[in-house]
Amino acid sequence: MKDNSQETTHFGYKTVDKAQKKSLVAGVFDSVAAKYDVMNDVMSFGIHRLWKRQTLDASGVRKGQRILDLAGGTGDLTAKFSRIVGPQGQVVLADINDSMLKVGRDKLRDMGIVGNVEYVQANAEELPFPDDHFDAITIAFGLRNVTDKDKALRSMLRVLKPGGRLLVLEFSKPEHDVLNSLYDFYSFNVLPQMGGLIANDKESYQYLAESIRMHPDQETLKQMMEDAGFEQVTYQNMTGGIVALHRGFKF
Amino acid sequence: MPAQALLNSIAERVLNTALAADPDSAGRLKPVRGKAFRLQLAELPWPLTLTFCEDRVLFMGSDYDAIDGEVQTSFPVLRTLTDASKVTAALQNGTLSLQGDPIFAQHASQVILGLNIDWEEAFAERLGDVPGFWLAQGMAKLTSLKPDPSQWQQWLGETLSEEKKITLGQVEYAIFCDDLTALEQRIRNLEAGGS
Repeated sequence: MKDNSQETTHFGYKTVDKAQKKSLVAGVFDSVAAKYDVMNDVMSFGIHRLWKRQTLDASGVRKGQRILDLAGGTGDLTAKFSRIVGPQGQVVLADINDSMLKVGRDKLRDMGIVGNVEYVQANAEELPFPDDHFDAITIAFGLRNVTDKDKALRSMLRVLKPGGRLLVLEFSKPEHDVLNSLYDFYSFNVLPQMGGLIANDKESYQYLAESIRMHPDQETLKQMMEDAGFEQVTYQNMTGGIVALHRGFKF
Repeated sequence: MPAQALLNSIAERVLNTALAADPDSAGRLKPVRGKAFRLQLAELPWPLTLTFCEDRVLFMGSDYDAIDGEVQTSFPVLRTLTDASKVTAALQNGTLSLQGDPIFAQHASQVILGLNIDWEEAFAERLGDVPGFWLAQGMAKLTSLKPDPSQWQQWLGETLSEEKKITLGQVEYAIFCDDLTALEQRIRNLEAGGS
């Protein structure tokens, strides 16, 4: 008998074939790429910049290191990493979506960030890099869109150097019921309307809200990272648990 | 965390705007480029962690752990970092704690303390020549009105010792010390005579 759970996955609240999810997610991000930064600022009231700052702090990145900014989108973290690692270091901005990568590349070049940044279109489940290659890996608001998260975590572990760390910044589960209710109302009533008004794309932002709810909560993701082989895994809730930053090491 | 990140974000914007307006900032950033410096001031709730880049400074949070040098002190002692002899004295009397290379700490402090901005030009670039000129003039006037702490100290000393006679003047203090020495000598003589 065929095990159906091995063949299907979530796309928001819908159940779709695993093979189909990649193209569906690609469709969402092709659609939102041009307005991605504006929408992030509007939807989060600019707080996403503070969440990313915290990710940068937890990364411990220093001069001369090699960093992978996975699902790096429009390059917010890459810009900061590039300045810290300097000309002796290297930052790889990787994203599965070509439209996002193009927006990110244009934005960083306009900011004068060139020389130590490389752009790679890559699937997180099968990273095209050698073993033990990066000092740190970040994936910010990207893991929930990956079809096989366990496989992606194992792939990240493989390309991370011993002593290196992985940081996963992702929407998570609010700690308090009241906040959870307010957040639900905002996500399913306000967010899609804003997506419709600003990006002319209500459906993509409906998917965003649904994909956040389907993403593993703090403890589940911690366990997934440990199962993949990461050690000393910890997480830090931000803004009441709306977002969580998980950190794990490879030894 | 968000409050710290928000304040760091604002401080970073302000400092980098100032550094961009200072033509000498690149020279001061050069010796500290790629390094991170942490300043823990007794008056602040969290440490200031600065990472120096080619043309700017990034404010990191207290979780950032790749630090090259750290100074723990208070606001009043902070300015002594520019003077090597005073740094030594502060280290000896325990008002300053330093981890890492002292030269790096001095260079790091100079990035901020050495700011020298042509306000007229900076304002003119953003607001136009005439408003820039007026604003710069206003700032110069305000700076000249700033009280000089050494003058205040002199005024306070004279008022207390000369006018109000609450404390002793320098001459009176010297006479008092001489009298005290003479008294000590007399006591010793008496004790010697008695024994």
